[in-house]
Amino acid sequence: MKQLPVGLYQPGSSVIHRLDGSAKLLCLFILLAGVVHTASLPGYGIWAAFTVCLIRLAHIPPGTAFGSAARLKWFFGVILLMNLCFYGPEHPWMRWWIFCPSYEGLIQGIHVVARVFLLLVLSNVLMVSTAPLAMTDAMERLLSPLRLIGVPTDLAAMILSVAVQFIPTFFEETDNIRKAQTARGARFDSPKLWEKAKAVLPLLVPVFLAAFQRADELSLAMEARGYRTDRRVWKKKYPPYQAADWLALLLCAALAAAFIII
Amino acid sequence: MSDAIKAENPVPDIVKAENLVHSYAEDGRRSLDSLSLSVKQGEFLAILGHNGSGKTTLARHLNVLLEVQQGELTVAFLNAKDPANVWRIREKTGMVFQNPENQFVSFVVEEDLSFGPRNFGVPEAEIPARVRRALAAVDMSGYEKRSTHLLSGGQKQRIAIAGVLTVEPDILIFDEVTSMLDPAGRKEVRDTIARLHEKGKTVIMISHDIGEAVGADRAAILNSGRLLAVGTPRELFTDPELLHRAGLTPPLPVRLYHDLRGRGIRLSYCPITCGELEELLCR
Repeated sequence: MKQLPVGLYQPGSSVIHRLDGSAKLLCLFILLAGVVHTASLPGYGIWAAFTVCLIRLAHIPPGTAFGSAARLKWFFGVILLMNLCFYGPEHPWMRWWIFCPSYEGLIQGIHVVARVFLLLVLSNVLMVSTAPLAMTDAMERLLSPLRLIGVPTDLAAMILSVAVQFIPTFFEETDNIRKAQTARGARFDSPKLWEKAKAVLPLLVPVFLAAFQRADELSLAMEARGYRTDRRVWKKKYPPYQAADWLALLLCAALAAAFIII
Repeated sequence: MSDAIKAENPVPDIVKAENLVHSYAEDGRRSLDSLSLSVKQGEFLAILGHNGSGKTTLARHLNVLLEVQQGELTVAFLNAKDPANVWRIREKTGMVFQNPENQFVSFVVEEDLSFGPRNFGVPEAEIPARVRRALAAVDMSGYEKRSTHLLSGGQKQRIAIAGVLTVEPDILIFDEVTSMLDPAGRKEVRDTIARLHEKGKTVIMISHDIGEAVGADRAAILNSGRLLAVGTPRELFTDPELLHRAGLTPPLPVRLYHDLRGRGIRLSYCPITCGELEELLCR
């Protein structure tokens, strides 16, 4: 369960690691806009080369960078197949029952898969090179204008950070309870849907009870360590962007703009 | 310091509870019942009792996580009943809980350790030095960039202790901090606590395991929310009847001492640690 992308932050001192979290998050949004507007196969090649450069710059092992996307290979296969068979009924290669595979469908499928793949890998580069608290700080910084209309952005960022922090523990606990119940005869591997459902229901009760207990203990521990929601003692001052942050934003904006305009 | 000077300058009570009463239930059943207890500055006090004896309720009062319903309580020389003192008391009183995993707010050690100081308004520039000092105090220097969820149980608990130390409190409260650890982890944490006490911190350790408390200056035994006895570990732990009334098991050397005595083998005194027992048997 520790392979979950949420727990994949790998401390480092690469140029990507050293960029400001909010600058990285903005860069990601800009790059995603560019990826979504890409409409040619050579374009995806350029994006792929750019992504590989980012991975090399961040010193991220390829297995980590591509891991979450690689785990979705079946999903990509289904997407490709569905586009291939259903997208372009005007000029199909052949027609059989409801299936009409076409060249347009194949190209559209490649577009969708390439976009989702790049989206996942680029997000992963951000997750792996940005500490979770830096990430919540980044979200808080980007959302901070909403404070003007009374939205408690710091509170939302803390809730998100704590929730992310608990995901591996939550999965580990679920796995432990599942194993304990399997030892007592529960059938999670049964092909029968009814038996599977019967086994999962009793799993939910202890998992949620444990989650509530953890939440209760964490809130006490946070309070004991001075966290308060009524008044923010710690006035956060966001550091100004450095030259590298501006350069990264400029580079991403230029690349994305080129694809959007062309 | 000579006895005369000590008598002239007695060590002040850093914690003083008088007739403390607390009830969670509507029916008025008391979790703390007229409890009076004091802790000297720099003292190591172990609070013992079986499950439901009121130990954790008392600990939560000391950090003002629970409001004083009845009675008087002074913590770090501040009145705990005054709402204006709540955050000052929490700054002076660091509390470590049973399960280290439920205390972390970040995956990364240094980020988690920065949480407390930031909440208490410590200047950002000062925080890295505090993190380094806290890690050194728990013998985990160099772990700043490590992931909290990839550490061993003992290491996690020591990081949780470091998280409290970054706020630089005067009083440290440990609420059953070793109960979820393996023997090696327990030893790591026990040694850390002993080191912190040697450095002058006031330590209040809550436990139901007497073995954890033999190194304390004093021990207090709670039963049904009341203070059953208070004294040195030797005074209390060598009294099997008292421990039986409190629902506690005497330490192994004490049990062995009484078993040997029952079989007609008399040792010169009742040992409370394995080291003392070994020394007696080797004599």
